[in-house]
Amino acid sequence: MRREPGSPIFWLTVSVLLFVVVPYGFLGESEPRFAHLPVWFYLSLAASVAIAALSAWRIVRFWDEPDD
Amino acid sequence: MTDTLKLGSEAVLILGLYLTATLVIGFLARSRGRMTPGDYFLGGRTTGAVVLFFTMQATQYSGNAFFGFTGMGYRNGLIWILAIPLIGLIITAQLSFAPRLYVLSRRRHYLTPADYYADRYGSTTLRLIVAVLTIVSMFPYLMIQAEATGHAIVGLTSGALPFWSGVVFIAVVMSIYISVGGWRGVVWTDAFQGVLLTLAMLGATAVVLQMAGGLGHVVDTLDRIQPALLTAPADAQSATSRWLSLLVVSAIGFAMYPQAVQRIYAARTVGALKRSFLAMLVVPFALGACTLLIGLSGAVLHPGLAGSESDGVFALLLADALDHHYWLVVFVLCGVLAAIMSTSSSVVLSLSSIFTRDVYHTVVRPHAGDRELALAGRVFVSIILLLVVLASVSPTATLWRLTEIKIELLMQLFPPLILGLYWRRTTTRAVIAGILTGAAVVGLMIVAGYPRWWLFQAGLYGFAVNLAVCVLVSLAARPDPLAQERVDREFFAPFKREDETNLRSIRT
Repeated sequence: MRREPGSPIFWLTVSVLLFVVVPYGFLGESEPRFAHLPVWFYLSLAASVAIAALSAWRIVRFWDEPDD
Repeated sequence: MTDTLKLGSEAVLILGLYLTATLVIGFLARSRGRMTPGDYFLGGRTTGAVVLFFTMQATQYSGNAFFGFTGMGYRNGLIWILAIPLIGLIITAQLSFAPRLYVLSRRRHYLTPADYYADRYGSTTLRLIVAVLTIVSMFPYLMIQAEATGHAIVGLTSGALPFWSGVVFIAVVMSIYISVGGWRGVVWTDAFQGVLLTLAMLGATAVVLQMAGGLGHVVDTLDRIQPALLTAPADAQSATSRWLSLLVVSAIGFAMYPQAVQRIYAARTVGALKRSFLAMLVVPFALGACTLLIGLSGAVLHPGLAGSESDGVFALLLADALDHHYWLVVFVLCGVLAAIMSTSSSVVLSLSSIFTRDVYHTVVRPHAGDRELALAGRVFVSIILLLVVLASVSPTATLWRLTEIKIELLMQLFPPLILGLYWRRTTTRAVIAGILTGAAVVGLMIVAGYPRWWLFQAGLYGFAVNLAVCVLVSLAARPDPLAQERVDREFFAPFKREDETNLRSIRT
């Protein structure tokens, strides 16, 4: 088959990252803080970055361009 | 929402300049000579990466980004950092179907989303079901945009133009540049409007944050007056039902927007599509964060707004900024108008293509030629805009709630799309039954007052039922060798390496 950006491992990783994006590990918490903001905020942001970076990597490396 | 602003006649001049610019761009973009429906609705499938990115961006960020999204930040606080993945996941979700759908759309000349369903499953009934579901989902969205337009115009002209005349005036301007320029008119104006709305959002965020005393002061103040806005969801059930469910529903539902699917069809090359997708993955980190910062600042400066009232916090903040940042407020209002018009014009053109291809050409005039269909497309643009203007009334739900209902219906088109691309055995009866059952579940839950139940939103329950029906009914049917052979040859063979030569032929 031709290479495509989606794969079972990709979707599994995105699904796992979604559980970091939504701060399940800090339910009802606003502490600890770092630079005024709760740590869960930074973790959620980092997971969002990870999903975007992973998607970008799959697009660049695994989406064949037959017509270019 | 912007009725509280008091602007001078210069604002009307700026508004006039902005609208003139969109009309000029629309006229410059028009094609000379005869237009086929493919030219009119998809620009001849020659849209390059830069324009494709700007039209995707301008279409994705509507007036809702300024009002609905900032309202979400106001009501929910820091957890609205999820605005970033909520927008970014749309592209991630599209990776599940865009590579194959793009190739098929080039080989098989798709114009509308329903073209794929009708072709893959060989069913006119399915085409009509997809078309009707899309129209029903998108029409209220246009009404919201029209209402937001009226408010923006009233604000920009300080009431010199009344609400309804503002809506009609903008509808006429859009009708002209869509009818004259078709796809090119829409995407070129989108590029202009996309830049404008981005600068407006960034400028508004900088000013609002400055008025609120900076991020540190905002967080410290919220810690005292509304600490709940800095707290993660209280328990696993609310985290799932309120947020995880929302992320999944939004990613799938927004990915199925007809105008978003048509932007995949319209890309000049796979490379252009890939580059525009890459850029789209970055944008949410700027604009999503802006909506959070504006919402948090609003919670400090205007606490106590409830329900749909909180969707107006952005307008209140603009009114606050008027004394010291007059020109910026005028510019931001033009940016709001740009966001509304770019989304509306893309949706109107998309709906026009659906009426023309899926309804008029399929049911009313099956033998109509290209010229007649292109003309019909122009006529439908005017009819749709007229209906939207006539039907625009004040919404009873919040802007965000109406958006949710729309995407929950649209996501019912996702299972048959994915199954059709990756599972040979999917049958026509199965997907028709799946879509109808899924949409019925969503409709019944919303009507019965259960937009969310237990862990998930109605859309996800409909989606699960839809998927189960599609799979079970397909498995229950005896495979038809002839039908399987056709599906293999036309929808799966292009994605095998041995068919490389065939695939290269889509260049032409």
